[in-house]
Amino acid sequence: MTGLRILAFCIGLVVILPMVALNKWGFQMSMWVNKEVSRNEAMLDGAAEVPAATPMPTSPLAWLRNRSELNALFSRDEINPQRVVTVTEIIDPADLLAPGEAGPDAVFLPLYAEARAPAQLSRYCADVLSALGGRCDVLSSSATINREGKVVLTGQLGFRPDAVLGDPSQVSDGQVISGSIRLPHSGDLRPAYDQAARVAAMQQAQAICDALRAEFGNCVLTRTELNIEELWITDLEVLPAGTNPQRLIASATYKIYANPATLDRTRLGTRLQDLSAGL
Amino acid sequence: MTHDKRPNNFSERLQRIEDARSTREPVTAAELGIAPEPSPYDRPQEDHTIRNGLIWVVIAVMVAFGGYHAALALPNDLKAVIGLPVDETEMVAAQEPEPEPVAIPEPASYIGAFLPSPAVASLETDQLSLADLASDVALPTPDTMLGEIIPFDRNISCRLRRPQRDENVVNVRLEGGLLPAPLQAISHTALADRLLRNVKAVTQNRLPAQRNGRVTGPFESIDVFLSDTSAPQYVVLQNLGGNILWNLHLAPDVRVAHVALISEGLPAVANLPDGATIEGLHVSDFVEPHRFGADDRIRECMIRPWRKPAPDWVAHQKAAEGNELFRNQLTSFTKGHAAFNAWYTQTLGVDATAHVVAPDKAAHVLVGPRPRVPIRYQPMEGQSVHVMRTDTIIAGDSATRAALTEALHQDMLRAAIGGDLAALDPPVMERSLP
Repeated sequence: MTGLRILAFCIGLVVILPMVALNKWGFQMSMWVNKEVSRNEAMLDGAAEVPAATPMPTSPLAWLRNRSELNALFSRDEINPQRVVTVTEIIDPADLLAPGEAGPDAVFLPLYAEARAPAQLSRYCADVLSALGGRCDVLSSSATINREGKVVLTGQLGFRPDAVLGDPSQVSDGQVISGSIRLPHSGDLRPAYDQAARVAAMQQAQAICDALRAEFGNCVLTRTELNIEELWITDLEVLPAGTNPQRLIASATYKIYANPATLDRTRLGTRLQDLSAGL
Repeated sequence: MTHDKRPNNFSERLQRIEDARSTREPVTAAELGIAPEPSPYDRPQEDHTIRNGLIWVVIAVMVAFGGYHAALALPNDLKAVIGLPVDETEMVAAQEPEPEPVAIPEPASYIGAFLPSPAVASLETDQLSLADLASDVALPTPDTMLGEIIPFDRNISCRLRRPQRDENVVNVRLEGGLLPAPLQAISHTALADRLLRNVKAVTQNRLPAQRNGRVTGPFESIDVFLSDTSAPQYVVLQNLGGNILWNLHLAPDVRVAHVALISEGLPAVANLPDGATIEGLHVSDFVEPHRFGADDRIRECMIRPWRKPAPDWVAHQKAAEGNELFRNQLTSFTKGHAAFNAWYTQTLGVDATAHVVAPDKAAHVLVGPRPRVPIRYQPMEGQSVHVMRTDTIIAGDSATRAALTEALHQDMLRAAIGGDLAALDPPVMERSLP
């Protein structure tokens, strides 16, 4: 009987302990939310002293989630959505069509655009192969028709990275810290949205990651966004004839697995600014 | 506390204490005549084997059940770490197209009579059966072969031909029919929308291309028996549901002057008598898709054919019991009908409830008095059908319609992709070695 009682006690512990842990975490979350609400209210009221922001409590079961995320993040063998390049293309509907192909009825244009987006955007894999990785795939794509009647294609290209990502297993009590930065450009006018500019932007993004890895032991370039800003006709009037109205806006997001005592979001943001300024 | 129940005489107590402290053998409880207090450990154990067994069975079942589901809920990578089999069906299951929902026949309706064949909806007080009404009945099936399909254009304004003085306006207003119809209609808008959703499933979520199925544009059909011979009939056929095919059956000497159709779906008419004219209004051309309260306001072109709630509706009883859902539904019907009636009365010069047969759904409707002689049933087989024009109308037996529907989707999808379906997922590009 004694053995059974001990067994029952152990089973009870196994059942109850996660509940206790999650309840404690829930309580901490409530307290954190209250604190953040007070902080926001204080800011809105213009209070002189604004309480400092506190980090969100981590779930005791977060390790379950983090493990798979971490594995995927630092895996160099596969293409996965943890590392993507986002590309955009704005074209006339006629540019979707093959030479001599009749255009669709207006009601079918969104379908044509969506259906042709993957093939259209896969061409940008050439840029990715030039700058970041040895394999590239279109992970997702979408298409919309903008107010000017042009087709806006957006895609996420996954890639297998060339760069060494670092070893997160060397970090004790680590967390994934992420930060983003708008990539710099020279001159007043942003670079034209062409292959050379896109490749250069991706190389810039990778160079920043390399510097971070040298400093913190690991770094993953998780997202490089290559967006388009279309110049207004009034802007183009003062520029040389034939200027490409589509200009590149590039930004990059990084993730580093580090001990929060060594690196936090604020410090990463500061380092990103410094490294960006040094390019 | 002592169990010594002897008289509490002080001198005797002293003597007993002295005796106890002397070298004499201690006096036993038996010698003193006191029954010994049994130890709890000496008591015989009660047997609770069954009770304890049940408790442990319950605990074991709970642990096994909880443990099994906890193991199922573990993420795949953790399962791999601790050596549990990885659930590969998870992804496959997510990618499989959802099965078509099974149509469960409703036993009754909350919003009016639900009258499957052979019941007949009518203004008669007695419940009529098809056998009372018609002879030579040959109900349509999904494989009935129709004759010529004659498209007609929908009205571009929300007006209908004004009834002549000598014409008798009769009404059928319901949600839908309960007979099959070997007819489908697919608009470009619906086709583009469905194909777009299918393509997005692939391009945005890596799911199978046919996840959202096909547009089929099915029709329901309903028999309309006309028996009033007193005047030329101006027949207004209205439905609030999907596509509907009205099959007309005329008693001898009935004259149909005009058929006006008002439908949320596409309407069609089979067995239109010679000399009768036809026109149709498509609700969505004039009225936005219904939202609660949107049809409450009386306004121009409010042509959504709401029925006036009747006291025998189950919804009425539910609303009277305080059910807020049904109360809201009845409000929609009541106010919607008032707004529709305003348009109807202004357009046709008669009240929308005049001579109206308005079940929820029915297979057969009698408009007019019960005929003395059964009306000869007009089968759909080989009959011309007038259909409100849309981009694609498909008739034929089930297999033919299914094949044509599939071909329509595939052709349109290939045209949109500009090639094969594989182009939706281009191959992985690799850097070529120098």
